[in-house]
Amino acid sequence: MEERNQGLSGGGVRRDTRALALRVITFLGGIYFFLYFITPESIIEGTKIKSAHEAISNGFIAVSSMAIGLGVINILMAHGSKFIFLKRGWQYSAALLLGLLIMIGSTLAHWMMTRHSASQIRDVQIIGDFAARIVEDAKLGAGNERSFSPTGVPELSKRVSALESYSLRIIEKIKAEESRVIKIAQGDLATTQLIRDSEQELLGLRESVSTLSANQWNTLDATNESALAQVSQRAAKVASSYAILKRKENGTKFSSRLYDFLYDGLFNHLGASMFALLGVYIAAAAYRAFRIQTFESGLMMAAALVVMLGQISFGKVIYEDMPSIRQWLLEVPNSAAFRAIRLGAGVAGLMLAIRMWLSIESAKSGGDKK
Amino acid sequence: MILAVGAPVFLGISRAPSRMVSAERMYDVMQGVTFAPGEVAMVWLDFGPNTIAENEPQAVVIIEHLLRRRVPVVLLSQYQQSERFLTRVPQEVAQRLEREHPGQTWRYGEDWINAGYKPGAAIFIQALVSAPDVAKFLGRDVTGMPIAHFPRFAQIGGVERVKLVAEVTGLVGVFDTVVQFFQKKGYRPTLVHGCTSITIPEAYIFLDSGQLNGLLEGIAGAAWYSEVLRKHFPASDNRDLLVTNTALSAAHIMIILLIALGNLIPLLNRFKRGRHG
Amino acid sequence: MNGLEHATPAVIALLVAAFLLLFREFKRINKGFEHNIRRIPGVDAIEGAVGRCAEQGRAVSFTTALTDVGPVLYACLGVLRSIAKRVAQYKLKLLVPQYSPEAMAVVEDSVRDAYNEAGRSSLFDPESIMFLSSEQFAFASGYMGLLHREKPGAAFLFGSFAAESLVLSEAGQQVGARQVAASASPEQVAFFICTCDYTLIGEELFGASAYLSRDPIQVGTVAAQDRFKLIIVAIISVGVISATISNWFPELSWFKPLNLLSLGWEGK
Repeated sequence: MEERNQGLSGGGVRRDTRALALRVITFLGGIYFFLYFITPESIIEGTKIKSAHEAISNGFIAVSSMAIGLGVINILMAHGSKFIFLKRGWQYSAALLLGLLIMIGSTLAHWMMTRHSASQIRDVQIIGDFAARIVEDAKLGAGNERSFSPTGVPELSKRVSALESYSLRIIEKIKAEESRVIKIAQGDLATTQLIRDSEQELLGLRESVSTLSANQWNTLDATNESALAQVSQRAAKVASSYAILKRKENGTKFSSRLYDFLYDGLFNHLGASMFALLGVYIAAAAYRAFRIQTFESGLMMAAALVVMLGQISFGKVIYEDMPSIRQWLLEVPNSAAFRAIRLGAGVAGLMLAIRMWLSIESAKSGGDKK
Repeated sequence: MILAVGAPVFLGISRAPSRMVSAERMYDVMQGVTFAPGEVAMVWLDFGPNTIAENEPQAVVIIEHLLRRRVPVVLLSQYQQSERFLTRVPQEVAQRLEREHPGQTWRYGEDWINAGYKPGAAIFIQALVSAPDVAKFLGRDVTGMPIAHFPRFAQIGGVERVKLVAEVTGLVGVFDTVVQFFQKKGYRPTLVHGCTSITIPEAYIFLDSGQLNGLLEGIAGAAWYSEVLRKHFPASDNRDLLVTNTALSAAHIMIILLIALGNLIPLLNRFKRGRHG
Repeated sequence: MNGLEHATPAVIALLVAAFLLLFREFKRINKGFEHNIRRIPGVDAIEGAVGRCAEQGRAVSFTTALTDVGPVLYACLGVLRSIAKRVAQYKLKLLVPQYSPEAMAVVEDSVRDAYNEAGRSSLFDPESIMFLSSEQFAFASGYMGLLHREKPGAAFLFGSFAAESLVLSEAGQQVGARQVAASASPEQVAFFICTCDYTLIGEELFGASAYLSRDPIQVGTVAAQDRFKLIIVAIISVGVISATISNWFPELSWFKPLNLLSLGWEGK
């Protein structure tokens, strides 16, 4: 009691407050999904929770994504301090931090490159989208609800003129990249053919766009609609080929090659090699540890033999129905045993989860009693 | 051990794989799912370099089957390290199909899209399932392009239009999340799974209960699936996979021999000691 | 069965039963009722293994492997706390290699608390809880290196394991450590059985903490688990009987009591 009444500088009050705050936050963190789960659909439909559920879930996903940053911060703190103060093993910390920085750097560069390409491809796709949108809006009539302007969308002729000038600007930009794009072919026939096809498609788009100014745009008649549809279709094809060429071009850039080297060349292969170590350990364990010493271990070994032989073509040479016996072993006794273990562990997990949610902690005093 | 595994790989030895009933059934299941316009298949590639040997062939045969059927495929993952596989695997499959069928094309954005890594695990899947518009919920693909821009994927609508879900993983707990949360009242997709050999026993309990409709059991499952594909599409090339499966078979035989030796030698020693007093 | 986006009345009833059972057991224990937890050989071996390390002057290693913050971690922490107290009492070195940065903070707190309870707070070394890697096999290789350098006399592997389980347990074998393993992942049990001295299977991991500490809350949780399992067994039995009856007597195939479990609020 006296401890509790110490001021804020005392340990007792602060500890109690902190513990209470943790319990409240833990409880609130779990209550939303629990209530969402147990509340019938018909009740949820009538509330605003249904529409907010997606946003709330995104909030939780954002919080869990922060854990990735937490790991990086932890590494920087733990190994950074080792490196800065030259503690024991600082060289390994330096190697770790260097690897971390190189990987982050190359991934960022690669990501920025792909985002930049995506925005360039989007610029081309907008041509087709805009052409299709002009047709839709013209059919809906002026002052339609999708218009951003209170007076409705701009008149048809202005929009078509804007489409034309924008398209020609983008076409010129793509043409200007031609010489750079040709280099990525590097003798590859498929890519060379792709470049030729995309040049043809670009010419076709330019032709379609140029014919727009030849028409009268007072109203959207059949001819005009057809012209815009053609622009939309050809723009989609140009965007598609442009996207493929952009991706091929990105593959030749340094940031992409570095990323490929670090990820495919180092990380993937090192990870697979480490996993392959298991083969050695299994071989060692097979010789040393897999001994038949009791009836149960003999039974286990027999089952293992049948399952292994049933999975390889050699098994059928020994006994025709080996795969079927293997199938039966997996479907019947194995399923029964695994279900039992999973059920038990699941129930235990449920009880522990309830305790965690309600912050029902073990007594700290008492110690070990037998 | 190195010789046992290496010999088939270096000499290119391939033998016919053992018949895997679950892989055969999975082929029938995947072939039997009908896709109306706007309906898609969702393929989760939740594996990294650790389980690449088993999971990548499974991903290849599943994506190959879907691309052959011209089913629009949405690729995504709950695991950061699978990012490269999401990009590389469908591209390689598409290139192989284009070589097999000159004149036909399989294009990114038309036949498949890569929605990339999605954090949040169970919460993400729950939110995806309850979203009114899957394309809008997924937002952009991995290159930053709005998914709603791709015509074949823009009309997905609710998750009920995801008719098939394929989960390829060797990670613990990931498959359980999909089984548990990728469903809602009145909707349960056809679910198929590619697992590593370690998790085969655990996957069977879901297959038996009907929560899982198809299962590929490690490399052996993928190898038999590729044979079934080849039966229906004779030009399909699965030699590399059969070589890998043969190497795996050789490793199995090696392990069996080592177990036998490990048990026989002490037995013989004990017998000799007994004879000598 | 329809999707379980929202709980059916039957599932809510089961959840309520779980809550009630848990609180009932806590209340019973508070009134002095003592439960008997059956002997778990693997858990009995823990004290012996730590004692052996004290005799040999060797370190003790405890790993939670790939366990993230969750019920499994909390189950492991109960055992870790008990082991850490003994290690503190015997003034041994404790090694707690970590995989998850989030779990590491929780683990550090638990070990610190254990040392405080043993009255040896000055002996607590935060560096004994070391973060190795969040990458599965990088963690495994770090663990192998750690064991080969430190050569602990006892290695405890409690938690969630994947393919690296054999690598971890082989490393312990190679340095001659007494090993006790408890895996929440049933597929790794076979490897542990072959390479470890004692293995706890499935929910024995969750019971181990209660068994060691005899803490009322933990013992009550184990008791509630067992009673809830009885309910599950009853439901399974009803299902088996009704399925068997339907099979033998097709005219009775309408008798499917377990359909009540999936009956929604609207009655369908």
